[in-house]
Amino acid sequence: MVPSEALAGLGGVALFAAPGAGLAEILPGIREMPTGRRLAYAWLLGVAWTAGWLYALSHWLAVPLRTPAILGAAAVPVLAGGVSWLRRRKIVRPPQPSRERGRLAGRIALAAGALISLALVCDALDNPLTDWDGRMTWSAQARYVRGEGTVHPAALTQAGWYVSHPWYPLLMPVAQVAVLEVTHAEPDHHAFRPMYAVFFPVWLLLIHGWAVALAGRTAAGWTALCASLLSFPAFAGSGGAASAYSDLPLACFFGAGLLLLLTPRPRLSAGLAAGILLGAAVLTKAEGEILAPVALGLAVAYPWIPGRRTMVWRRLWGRRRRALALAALPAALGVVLLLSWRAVVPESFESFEQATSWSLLWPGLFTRIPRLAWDARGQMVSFLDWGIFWSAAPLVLIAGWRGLKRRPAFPLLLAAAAPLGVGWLYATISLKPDFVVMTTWNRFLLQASVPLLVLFAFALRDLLRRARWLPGALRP
Amino acid sequence: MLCHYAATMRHIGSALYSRERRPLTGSLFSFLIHNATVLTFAGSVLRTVALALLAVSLLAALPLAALRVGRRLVEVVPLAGETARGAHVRMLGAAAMEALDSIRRAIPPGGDYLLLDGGEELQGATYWVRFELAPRRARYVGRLSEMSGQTGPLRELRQALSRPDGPRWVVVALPHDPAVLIDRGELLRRMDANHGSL
Repeated sequence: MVPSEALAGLGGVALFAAPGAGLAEILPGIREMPTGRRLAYAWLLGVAWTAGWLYALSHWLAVPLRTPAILGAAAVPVLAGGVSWLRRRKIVRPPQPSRERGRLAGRIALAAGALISLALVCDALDNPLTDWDGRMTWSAQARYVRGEGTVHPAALTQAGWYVSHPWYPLLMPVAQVAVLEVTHAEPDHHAFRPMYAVFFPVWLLLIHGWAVALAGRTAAGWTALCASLLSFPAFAGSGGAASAYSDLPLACFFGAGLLLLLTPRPRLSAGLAAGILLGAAVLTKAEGEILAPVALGLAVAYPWIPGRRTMVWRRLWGRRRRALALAALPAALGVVLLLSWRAVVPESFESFEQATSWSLLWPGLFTRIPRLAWDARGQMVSFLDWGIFWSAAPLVLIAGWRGLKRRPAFPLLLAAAAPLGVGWLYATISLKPDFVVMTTWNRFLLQASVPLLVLFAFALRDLLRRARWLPGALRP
Repeated sequence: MLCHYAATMRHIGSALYSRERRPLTGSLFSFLIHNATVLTFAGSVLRTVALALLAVSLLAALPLAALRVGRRLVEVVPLAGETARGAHVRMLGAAAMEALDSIRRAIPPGGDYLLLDGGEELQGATYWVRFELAPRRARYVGRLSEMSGQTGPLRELRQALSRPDGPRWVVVALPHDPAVLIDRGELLRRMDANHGSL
């Protein structure tokens, strides 16, 4: 890669990082997070804000997706964040890490995560896109959108053109267009790839940050190390950060939005941030239409989950509801935008209808279980994708079951089950269930990964605490 | 009075639930589940096995991750100075890039074309060609291998080729060879010369 082209790729990353930093500055609920988690949220908010506004402006106001609009959308939070920072005139120190043991695990995880992220960025700068769905759907759509400067390109809005899944939401293709337009890249340039690569460290920081908050530094460090060494989320050409699939971004938006809402007293700004992220989840991938309402529903039901200090939690409802209402607004806006945009796409669900039949749902929901479970297992024990993580993780969850008795565990379990349930349902009604499991199950696992790995940290904390034979440096 | 009542209840409770009153002649299973020591031991074995398996999982993942990271970091040096165009040529091959360039020159960015799948089965060739040629729009007209004799797909192709407002160009996507560009008039002439088939 020549330096100028590498700079273009990194400039594409800055296009979202800068507005994200602005948003993280003006939202106190994000600003006061520890550094790692704040960085992850800043990135996600930057992508959600910039690409989300461009999507909405292009659809509702026919604003051309060209450099002035893109820079304008990105500049608003940058300026607002700058003004907010100057007005505060004092640097808020993020919470200092506690003196709790566990630095070793955290340091190893940080080193592994940083090395793998660096390798991904190098790969993204050096090589053009070679994956399947990225070229078949997401980046092809991005080229049509960029070609006409609108989210209504003729290839999508006129019937008869050869387009795969024209009903898929366009948030990530719009983000690709933003990078390519601002950097004045050639139509077939791969300057957008580093943007996808950055989702990997963001995913790791999310998992580590929330695991630290809920399960302590040691369990968080080991969990983050396990996550960083998984091949699929990083290197898989069929859904990892090395590809241009939308599954990893969806996993990040869904997990980040959900976990913000599972805090006992979410601030209004945190509620708004969660809403922006869940709105982005809706606009990132079709499954987001289900996952975002699931996240909101779990956040609403959270105080009513039976457990210790239930009455205290129910009293918190009064304080939570305004934050939840604020979260619901951008998420609902995302749904309205998606449905409104789909209304102008004539062959909306054709590809889905051709591949599925609802008549298979009953009794297939039960009779197909052994076959689907066998196929899913086959994907999960693939050494090249997951190593032997899925052989160890269920045992960790079972052996550390006491760690799962904490209040957030149940909603996290349901949140992790939601994408897997969607995948199961899809495979059940599919005309080719084996093929569907083979091509999608790993991606549904990825979508469920943030809540699942935080749950894993809960169980691991319990295991490590009870393993008195371990050296002190490895235990909480 | 209350103290006396509580003491009595404790006495009744201990009488009802004392170990002595449980049937000692029960199965081994009932002995095991009531034996806290055995359960504690089993739990600690399970926890140890879980942690050991997790450690093995981490160790097993290391070589593969190191290999993948190493390969990507090492290739930075030989690829330094390579342009995006050069990277495309490296991945697709010079002949394929040349073919795509000539198609891009013939069909303007806002133009459209008919796309024929030159493979025997779904091998993705049409997806890759469509991606490389986007934002030019494609109309898919079928698979070449299914177009022999007077079959339906062949009739549909002839109809698509004969439409006066239809695209001028036909692109044949081949799984292992560069894409081929054919003028639709030329293709129609070939079909006529071959008595309707390709």
